[in-house]
Amino acid sequence: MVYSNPVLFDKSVTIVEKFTVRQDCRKILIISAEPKEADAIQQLIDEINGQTEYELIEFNDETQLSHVNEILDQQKMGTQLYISAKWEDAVSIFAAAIEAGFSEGEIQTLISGKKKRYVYCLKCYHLQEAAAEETDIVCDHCQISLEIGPFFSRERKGYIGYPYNPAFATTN
Amino acid sequence: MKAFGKIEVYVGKIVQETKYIKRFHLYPVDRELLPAFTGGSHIATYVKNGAETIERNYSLVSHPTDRTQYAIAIRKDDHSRGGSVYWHDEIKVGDRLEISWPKNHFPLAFKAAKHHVFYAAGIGITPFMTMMEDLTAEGKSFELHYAARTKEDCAFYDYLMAKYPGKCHFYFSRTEIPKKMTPVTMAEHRIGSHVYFCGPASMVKEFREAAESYGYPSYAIHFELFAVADKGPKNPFVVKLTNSNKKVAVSEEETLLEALLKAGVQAPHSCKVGGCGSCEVQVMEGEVDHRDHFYKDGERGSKKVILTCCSRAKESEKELVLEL
Amino acid sequence: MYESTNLDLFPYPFHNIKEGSNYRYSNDLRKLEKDHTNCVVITPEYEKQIKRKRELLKEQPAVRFQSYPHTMAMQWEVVEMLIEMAVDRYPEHFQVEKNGNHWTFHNYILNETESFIFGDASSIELEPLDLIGRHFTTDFVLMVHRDDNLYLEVAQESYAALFSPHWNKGMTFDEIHAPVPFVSRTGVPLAERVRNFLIRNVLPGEPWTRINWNLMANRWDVNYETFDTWGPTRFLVTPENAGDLVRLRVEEQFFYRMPRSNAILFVLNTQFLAMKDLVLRPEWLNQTYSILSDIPKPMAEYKGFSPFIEPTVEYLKNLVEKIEFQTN
Ligand code: HEM
Ligand code: FES
Ligand SMILES: [Zn+2]
Repeated sequence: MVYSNPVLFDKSVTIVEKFTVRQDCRKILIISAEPKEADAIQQLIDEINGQTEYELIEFNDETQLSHVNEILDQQKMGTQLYISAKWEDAVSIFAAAIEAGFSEGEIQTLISGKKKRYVYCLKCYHLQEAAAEETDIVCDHCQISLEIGPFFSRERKGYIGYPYNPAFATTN
Repeated sequence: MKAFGKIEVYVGKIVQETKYIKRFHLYPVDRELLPAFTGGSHIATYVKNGAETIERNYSLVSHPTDRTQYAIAIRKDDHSRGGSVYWHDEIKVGDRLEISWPKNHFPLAFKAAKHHVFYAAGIGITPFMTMMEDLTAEGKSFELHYAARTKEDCAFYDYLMAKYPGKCHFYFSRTEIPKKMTPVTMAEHRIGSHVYFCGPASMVKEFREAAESYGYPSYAIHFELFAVADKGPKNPFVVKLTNSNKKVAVSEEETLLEALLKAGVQAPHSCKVGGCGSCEVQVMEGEVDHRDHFYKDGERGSKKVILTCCSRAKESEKELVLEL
Repeated sequence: MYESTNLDLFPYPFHNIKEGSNYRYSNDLRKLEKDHTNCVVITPEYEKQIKRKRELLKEQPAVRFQSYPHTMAMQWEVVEMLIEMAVDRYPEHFQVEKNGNHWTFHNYILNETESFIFGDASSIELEPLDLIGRHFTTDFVLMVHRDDNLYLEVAQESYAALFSPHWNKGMTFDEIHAPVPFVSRTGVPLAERVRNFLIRNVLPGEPWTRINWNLMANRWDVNYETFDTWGPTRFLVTPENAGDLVRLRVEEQFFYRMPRSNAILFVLNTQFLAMKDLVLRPEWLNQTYSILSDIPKPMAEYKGFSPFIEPTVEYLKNLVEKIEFQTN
């Protein structure tokens, strides 16, 4: 694992609402780990329309997912990856793809259900989950008030949480 | 390694590598340790020939962490501007010259790099010598594809065979069974491969286009050229500089960078062959005739910039306005 | 804590701004002249500053020093360069003896000696840059060039202006500068342009410099970690007390490309001048007053001085008028 590798977070550039077929590749590899999204996959295959080679890999349980490294490692340059999964699975498939040598620009990820978001307390360096709409939060660990900023750290795996004193909160 | 700026060295050893290639070993005059460097680095050499100073860039071929000496390998090229001929015919053991610190405009890739593949034609092997040393030290995966006319013309052949068994693929064109180095091997490289090309402009162009057609993303394609691509006649033009409030005329004889430096303008620069981007200046007005091989094709239109060491005003333009 | 007393050594930030012109962000990097490439400076405040720096490093190690384990060789390369610069400029204060790889570094100002096996991190208790950095008043950051960006892989920082080695660890140049309203006078985004300039033009043997500045209200060090404590104190400034409370905080920055690691060593020399001391150089006072009167709102917000910029400008205005009155 290289520290500068991208990680999946709620605003990752790899996350898409809908798959789009790109022309600048020789092969499309589809990893489908969420049976509920079968329609989206079928739509993608229809859109590929036999113009580009594709391979569809379906995972139905955890044990199959453990083979994902092997499959990714065997790919050649010119392959683009399409991931369809729930959040937790997407995180591990994405990490495995980066480890195999895919770059963020060659991956499209379709998330089923909720994405997760984390905040990093700059007072005590504790990481905690925050709901998508939250702008302020109290640190579970040191109880300080945190304003959630827009900056994300790959190293700390969360958004910046600015500690502030609510008694002096100013509006500007 | 004390002072910044240039380093004074003397030629300690000259080795005839092949019929046309000589290797020169340079030692520091002050006997201090030289700076270590990174794979792919080059130095600028400044050789005094009477009143004239011949400035040329050469890739280093000595080990990146050997700080007692530097080595460069030069191919004698009778069609070039005369730098290599001077080095071959005039430079003797004991001669002194100045060199720059090692600079690297051709570094190894890092991101997603699972495997590195080098494609060298002729003297284009030089930057790869030090890149392979670094990768070996780090235990990383790589392979070399290397084209030369014959085994005898192939610099470092014995060394490479012995040092990197199983990793080198040679292609000799003037033998009984000629073998041509072509881009097709790139179709088979695993995901996470980076390809590096070094050789004549035509070879680099062929390999770049092939890599793109195989779906290589642009960040995985790396190349180095030794000379400015010859792209049409040099037209005269004038530049107006907004920061220094000067006007500088550029003649048919010189590059924009040369004219700026002559006029006393502190114009940034490094490689002087349109490959590193150091000489980039913002263009406020006027159309540029881009002659670099630094920007990607899409970028030239969207950015209002000029590389002063190689690009010029478009034929139709008399004047460019630059932020300098 | 400490303020500059030798004004000849104070890096006044607006030297390169034309008279009558205001301050806006730009690519203001300048190549260092041949005889000014050495970043080691001993000011009258050296001992005070070192003492404070070491206290901070000891009190908050995780806030102040960060590195990756793979950076040891890179750190040694910096150690060698800093020792050479120190010995070269101040042979009366610093000396080094090299016995093969066994090095002994003498600091005669503090009467201290560091002995270590060069290149062997197990021969010292701190990491190499953390150790040598404690002999110099400047802060140090190693930004490693990887692909098309610079990544923060080592940092020792004790005079921060919104700089947290802990938070910025592993970030790219662009990520670090994301909070800055980093646009030029004409609104052109600067982060990418400056990053490319650093990568292409800060080359081995050719160091560069620039100056960054800020205002601080009764603080020497502000970071996000302690925003809850210093944030509110900014509202205590008035036109009457600004001369003492508010200081011009200047960072003289140096950029060295390290030849072996291909990293850029970023060195920050931080100095302070109280507003009231600007009278010692009337031309500085006039220019600072004029520049602070015209700071764009987003820049003032970002720099964190919007709560006290008005009383500060008011203070300077009164001071300028007083001096004009006296000389007329
Ligand atoms: C390569 C090394 C550099 C590092 C590690 C670095 C780091 C930083 C950091 C940590 C901040 C504070 C960001 C925050 O608020 O969270 C900052 C601010 C800033 N940086 Fe850099 N920087 C570097 C180089 C440069 C260069 C070369 C320039 C300019 C041309 C520049 C221009 C600025 C500006 C304008 C600000 C806002 C500061 C202010 O207005 O007070 N930086 N930098
Ligand atoms: S100096 Fe390298 S591109 Fe012009
Ligand atoms: Zn906390």
